[in-house]
Amino acid sequence: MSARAPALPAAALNRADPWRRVDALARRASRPVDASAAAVFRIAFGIIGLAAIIRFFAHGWIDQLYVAPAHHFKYAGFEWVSAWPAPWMHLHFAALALLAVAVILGIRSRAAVLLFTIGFTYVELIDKTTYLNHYYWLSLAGLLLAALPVHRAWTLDARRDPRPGDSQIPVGAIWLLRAQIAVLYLFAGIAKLNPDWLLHAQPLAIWLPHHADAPLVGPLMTQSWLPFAMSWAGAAFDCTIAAWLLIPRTRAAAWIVLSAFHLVTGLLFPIGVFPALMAAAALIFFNPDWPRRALDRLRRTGKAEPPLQRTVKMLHYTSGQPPKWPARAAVIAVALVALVQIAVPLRHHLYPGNVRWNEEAYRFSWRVLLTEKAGHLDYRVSDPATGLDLLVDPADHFTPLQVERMAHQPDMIQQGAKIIRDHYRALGHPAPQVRADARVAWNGRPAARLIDPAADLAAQPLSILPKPWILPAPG
Amino acid sequence: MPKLAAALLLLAAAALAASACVGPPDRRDILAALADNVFVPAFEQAADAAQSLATAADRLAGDPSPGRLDRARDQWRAASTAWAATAAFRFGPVMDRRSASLIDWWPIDRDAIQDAAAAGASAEDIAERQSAATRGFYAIESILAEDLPIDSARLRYAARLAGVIAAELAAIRDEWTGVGRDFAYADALAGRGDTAISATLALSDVVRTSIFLTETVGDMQLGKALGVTGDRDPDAIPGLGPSTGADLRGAVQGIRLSFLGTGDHSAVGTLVNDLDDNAYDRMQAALDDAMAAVDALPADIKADAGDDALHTARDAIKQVQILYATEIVSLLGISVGFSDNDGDS
Repeated sequence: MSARAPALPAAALNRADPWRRVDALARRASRPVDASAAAVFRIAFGIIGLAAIIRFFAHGWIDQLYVAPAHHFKYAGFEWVSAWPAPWMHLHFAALALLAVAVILGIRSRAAVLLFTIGFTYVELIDKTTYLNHYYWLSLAGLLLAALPVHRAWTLDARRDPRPGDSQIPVGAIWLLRAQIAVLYLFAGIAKLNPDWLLHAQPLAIWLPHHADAPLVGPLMTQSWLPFAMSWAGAAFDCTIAAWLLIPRTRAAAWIVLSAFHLVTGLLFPIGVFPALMAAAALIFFNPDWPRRALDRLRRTGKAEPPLQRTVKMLHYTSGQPPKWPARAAVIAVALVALVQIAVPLRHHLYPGNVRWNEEAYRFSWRVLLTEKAGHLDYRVSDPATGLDLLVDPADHFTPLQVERMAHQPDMIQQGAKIIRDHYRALGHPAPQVRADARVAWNGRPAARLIDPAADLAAQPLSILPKPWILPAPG
Repeated sequence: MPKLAAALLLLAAAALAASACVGPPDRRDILAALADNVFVPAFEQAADAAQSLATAADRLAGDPSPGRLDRARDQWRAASTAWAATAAFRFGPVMDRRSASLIDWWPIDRDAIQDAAAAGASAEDIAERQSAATRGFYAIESILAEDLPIDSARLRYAARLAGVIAAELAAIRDEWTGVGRDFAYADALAGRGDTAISATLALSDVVRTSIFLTETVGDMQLGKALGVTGDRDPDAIPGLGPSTGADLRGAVQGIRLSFLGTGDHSAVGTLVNDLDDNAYDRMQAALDDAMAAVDALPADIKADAGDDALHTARDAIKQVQILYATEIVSLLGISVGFSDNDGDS
C-alpha cells in the first residue's frame, strides 16, 4: 500500500499559486463601470488631436517643419522615418484630421485611434526639432485608447449596431487612463525639485518679466517674489495634483485648480493645445459615470436610466469570469508598460552630469517648462588633406528653428556635424573633420562652452551612450 | 481665522507697495527712450542726408563740374554713413517696406547699371521694375567714383537713384514719426496711443536686429573677406572701398547705442544691468572692444586693412554676438526656450 501525500490546505494552495495576486488584480480591474467618462476622454482626445492638426495647417507648419528643411534630426532607431514629399505630407495631415473626426464620432473608433496615433507619432518622429512633451503624451494616450475597450460607448458604431455591454468598460481602463495623466504630472513635479527651480526661481524669474506689459497683471509680473511663489506652487502642484484628483473629497477643487493652472500657463507661455488637453483629460478622475449623470440632469426628462437597469446590464457583462490567460497577459503587459514609463524619465541617472545642461536622456521625461537656454553655435570644418579650414554657420544648412533648437542640444549638434561632414565630402574633401564652438547660457548663468572644441564630432559614433565630448555644466 | 487672513492680505499689500517703489526698469520706458533718442534721430538724419545727396546729384547731373562732383561725393559719403548708422535699427518700417533692396543692395551689377542709365530709366522704373543690383547707394558710388567727364546719362541715372533713396528714407522717417500719417511707429514701439506693439515683441525686434547685424558683419562680411567662413572674398564687404570703414563703424556704433543708449537715457542695457550687472559689464566691455577694433581700421577696409586688424575686429564683434545671443537674450527672456511651433519641451 503506497503512502499518499496529505492534501494541502486551501490557504497553502493559494500561497503556492504564483498567479494568485495577478488573478486577483485582473478580477478587480475587470469590474465593469460606466463607460461614459472614458467616452468623453476619447472624444476629447479626438478634438484635441483635430485641433492640433488644424493648427499645423493654419500656421503653415507642415511646409515649415517637415517639407522645407533640407535635413531632419532623426531619433536613434527611427532613422527610417522621413517626411513625405509635398503634397503627400499635407495629405498625411489631412488623413490625420479625418481620423480624428472618426475618433470623435466613434466610427471604427479603435482602428481610427490606432491609425491616428501611428500617423501622429510618425510625424513626431521625423525630426527631434519638433519634440514636444504633450505630443508625446498624446501618442501614449492614443496607444492606450487603442488598447483599451473604450471604442464602443458613445459611438456611431454602437448606435448603428448596439451590443450588450456597450455602455460599460472594465474599471482597469479608467485606472490606466488616470495613471497616464498621473505619470506626466508626477515626473514633471520631480523634475522641478532642483536648486535652480526652488532656490533661484529659474527660469520663471527670467520668463515672467517678459509679460510686464500684459493688461492688469503686467505690474505683478516684475515683482521679485512672484517667480518664487510660482515656482514652489508649480512644483507642489505637479507633485501632488494626481493625488488630490484621486481623493473624492478634493477632486472637484483639484480639477478647478488644475484648469486654472493650465489657463494661466496657457496665457503666459506658447504651449499650444497643452492646457486644453490636460484640463479635458483630467476629467477622467471623476466618477466613471459623471457624463451620463450630467446628461441626465441636463435633459431633465425624468427618463434617466434607473439604477437597477444599469445593474442588470453590469451583471450581464460580468456573468462569466474573465478568461484566465488573456487577463494575466493583460496584467503583465500593463506592468511592463508601467515599468517602461517609470524607467524612461529616470534613465538620465545612467548618464554623468546634469541632465538640464547636457540634455542626455532629456526627452520623453516630462521636463516641462523647466529650462531657459540660449545658445550660439558655429562649426569649424577642416580637412588636412585639402587644406580646408572654415567656420560654418549652421544657418547655411538648417532652418532657423532647427538652429535655435540644436544650439543647446548636444545630440543634435553631433547630427548636424555629420550632415555638414557629408556636405563637404560631396564637395571633394575626403576626410572632413567637424568641430563645434557651442556656447550656452542657461537659467541666467554666463554663457559657457557646451562641447569640447577639440572633439571631431563627425568622427564620434552616433549612440545613446554618454557623450564624453560634452563639457561639464558651469556652476 | 479672519484676523490671519487680514494680516496676510496686509502683508501682501505691503510687499506689493514696497516692491513697486523699487521696481525694475519699465520696458516701455526703455523702448520710448530708445525710439525718441536713438532710432528716430538716426532715421531723421539719414533722410536729411539722403535729401542733400539727391539735391547734390541733381545739380551735378544738370551741370557737371569738379566742384559739384566733389560736393556730390561728400554728400554721398554723409548719406551712406548716416544710413549705415541705422543698421541696428532696421526693424519695423524698414522691414515692412523691404527698403534694403532700394537703398543698399550689394553686390551691384555694373553692366545692368549701364543699360538702365542708357535706357533713361525713370524713378518709377528704378523703384518698381529694376533689379536691386542696379540701384542703391553702391550703384551711385560706382558712378560718382568716375572722373569727369562722366556720361550724362549715367549722371542723370545717379541723380534718379539718389531721388529714389531720398524718397524711401523720407517715407521711413515719416512712418517712424507719423508725419502725414495716423500712425507713428515710434509711438507704437513706445506704447503710446492705441497702436502699441507688445513690449516683448518690440524688445525682441531691437535685440534680434542687433544680433543679426553682428552675424552679418562678423561672419558674412568680415568672415568671408578673411576666408574664415567661406572662400576668401574681399567683395563680401559691401561697397567699393572708401566708405567701408565708416559703414562698419556705423553698424557697431548702432549696436552699442541700442544697448548702452545715449547720455543718461536708458536702453536695452538698463534692463540687463538690473537683472545681472556682471552680464552688463561683460557686454559693455565687449562693445567697447568691438568699437575700438573697428575704430582702428582704415577708412578703406578693402584696400588698406591688414588681415590682423580685420581678424581683431571680427573676433571682437563675434564676442558681442555670442554674449548677445546667449546671456543677454536669455536674461531678457527673448529666446524663450520652447519651440516656436507650440512648445513646452
